[in-house]
Amino acid sequence: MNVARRQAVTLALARPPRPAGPDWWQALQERAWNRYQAVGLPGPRLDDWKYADTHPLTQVDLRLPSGDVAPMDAAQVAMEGVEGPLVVLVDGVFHPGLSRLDELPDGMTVSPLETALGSGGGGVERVGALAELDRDDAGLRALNLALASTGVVVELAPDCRPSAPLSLVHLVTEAGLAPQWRHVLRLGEGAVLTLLERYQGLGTHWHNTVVEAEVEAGAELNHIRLAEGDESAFLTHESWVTVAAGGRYLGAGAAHGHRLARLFGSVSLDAPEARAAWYGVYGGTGRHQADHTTHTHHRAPRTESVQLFKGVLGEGARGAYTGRVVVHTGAQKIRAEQKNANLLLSRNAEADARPQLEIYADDVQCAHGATVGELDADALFYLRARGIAEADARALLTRAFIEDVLVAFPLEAAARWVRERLGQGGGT
Amino acid sequence: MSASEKQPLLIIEDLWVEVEGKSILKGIDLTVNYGEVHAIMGPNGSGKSTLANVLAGREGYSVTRGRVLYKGQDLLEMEPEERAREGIFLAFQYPVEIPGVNNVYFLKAAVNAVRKHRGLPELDAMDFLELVKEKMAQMKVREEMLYRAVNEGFSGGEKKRNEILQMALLEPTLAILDEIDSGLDIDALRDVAEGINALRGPERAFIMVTHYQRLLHYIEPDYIHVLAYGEVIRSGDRALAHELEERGYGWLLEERGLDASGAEAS
Ligand SMILES: Nc1ncnc2c1ncn2[C@@H]1O[C@H](COP(=O)(O)OP(=O)(O)O)[C@@H](O)[C@H]1O
Ligand SMILES: [Mg+2]
Repeated sequence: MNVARRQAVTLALARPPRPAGPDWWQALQERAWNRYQAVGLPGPRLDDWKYADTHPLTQVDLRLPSGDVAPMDAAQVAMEGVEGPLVVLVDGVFHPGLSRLDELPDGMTVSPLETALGSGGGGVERVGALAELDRDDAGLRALNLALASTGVVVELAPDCRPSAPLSLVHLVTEAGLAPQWRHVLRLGEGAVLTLLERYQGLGTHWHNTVVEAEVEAGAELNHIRLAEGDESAFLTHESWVTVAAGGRYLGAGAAHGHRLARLFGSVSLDAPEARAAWYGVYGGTGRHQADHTTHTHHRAPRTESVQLFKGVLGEGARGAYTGRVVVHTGAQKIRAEQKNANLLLSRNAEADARPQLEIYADDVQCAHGATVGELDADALFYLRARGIAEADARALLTRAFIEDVLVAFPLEAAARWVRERLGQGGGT
Repeated sequence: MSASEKQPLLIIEDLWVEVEGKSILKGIDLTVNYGEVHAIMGPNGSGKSTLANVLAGREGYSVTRGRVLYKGQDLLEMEPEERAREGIFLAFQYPVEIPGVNNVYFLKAAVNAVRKHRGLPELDAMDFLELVKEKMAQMKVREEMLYRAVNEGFSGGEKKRNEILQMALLEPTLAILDEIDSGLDIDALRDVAEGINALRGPERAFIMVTHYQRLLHYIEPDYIHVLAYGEVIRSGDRALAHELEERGYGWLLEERGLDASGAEAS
């Protein structure tokens, strides 16, 4: 812990001037900063962080971005099969040249955080409203709020339903950078949005993101996070979501190859018939560590949640799923389902699964299951006995294993992205 | 084909196989020439599937003695996929269900792996579909089975038809059919037998494993071998089939001084 604190302080001392902003924002950042100083980086003493080791993060040299816009070209940020508005965030700054925000549909606004803070309104005042700072695991989101350099503020008017997804591309082009991204969204009644977040980076780097989203009655947010990393890449990501009556939140996440990738999501189903769905796929080899943690709060009757997470873990990799479902008093006739399955491609891989249920109502339907297994030897032989090479047979079976999660991904291009990375069936 | 023209395809010499330290096959000798159909019969537990699996390269069996030559090569040194590409086809006694793998995708991958090995151009999706539909019609396999996961939720009969469909697509040189007749009703049995008979020819050979006589009414073998307790206790031509049909295996076992109740029932 001392090491973590020291490192955290080092990072903070390099703090650049904050984005110019209104007094309330300055005060909020100050408060977040103090909170961070008090709690530090989350560590193994916190139950939610039992399987996500932040220690390696304290062992590398990281600094806040300088604010320069890196030279980039459009090919570096494109993703096959994905059209629509695009926000490119590079090395901690909004990249206006590569972003595509000129043809937003009526009723949709997307502003860089710093612009929104300057002009006021547009929903920016809701930053910090959902991602609470009081709990003692608030370190990362407090740090994020204190040091956030950019992000987007998105608003959809009632019934606004853009046909294409909104893409947020997060890049680090210089080793050692630790950008802090902050996004805030509100979907008005009946609005529907697919939000695709992508993460990439070069060299040692750390993306730390917090997303806050309000989904109003009957609205739907499809929220995809795709992250590609390597042994020197860190990603910590938190989503804080509230869903009103009949609204729906779908969170789909995939992280591949990071030293540590932790995707956390908290969804609060605040009114009847609100629904949440969580889908996740993770995996890699080497010292890869992936952690998916979800908190799902059923606060109203007839709310529903489903979760399906799958890990494909090769030599030396670790994957964890923690899914906390809280059924609050009075939340009758709810349904909550959790499923986690892991494929270990090596004896040296480790999978941890923790479904956690807290129920304060009596008429509820809750189910959970977790499995850990290896590739089916009989299936492997069957494929090989038909002439299919062993490596191809393994890849085929690995893709088959994650396929039921991928069909639930709300964007085919995202499913394909995952298939190409996690469906290789490597390992020994 | 006269006896002098016989070309050996498979030669098994004094094959001993253990599973988990237990001796299962005890000195099998068998030669299969091109164009021949051999039936291997015997009670449950006598080692028929063990022999079939060892020939196809399944893991978990240790060969402690003997050798197997296939097209003059040491078969036991080859990986299962190499054997398949070289023309060995095992129709599984229990075809494996593979959730999440589309049958048509699997069939195409298998056909193209084998074609590539044989120096033939790989088939594209259109050409493959044309080929597979033609074979399916012959095998009376319903087209919708193409789009389901491999064997998943297939009835016993559908699984066996799917095996024969794969055989028809892969055009093997040595087809080993392990209890292809078990669990089939009479119509399915007739269809499956027709599919097999259609492939008979001088360029390939069959080893049919069964413990029922009835398959032999539909597919007439050239030779019959009775396997019991891991040994071939009698070999003969078609006449032996008729004798077995009338008298069962008991007398053979008694002649050899073996327990007439057969090997372990299972
Ligand atoms: N994988 C295995 N593990 C343990 N014993 C096995 C295995 N496969 C076969 N056996 C044993 O080997 C013997 C022969 O089995 P098998 O070859 O399946 O016979 P058959 O096909 O003639 O019924 C039986 O005693 C069976 O119990
Ligand atoms: Mg058998």
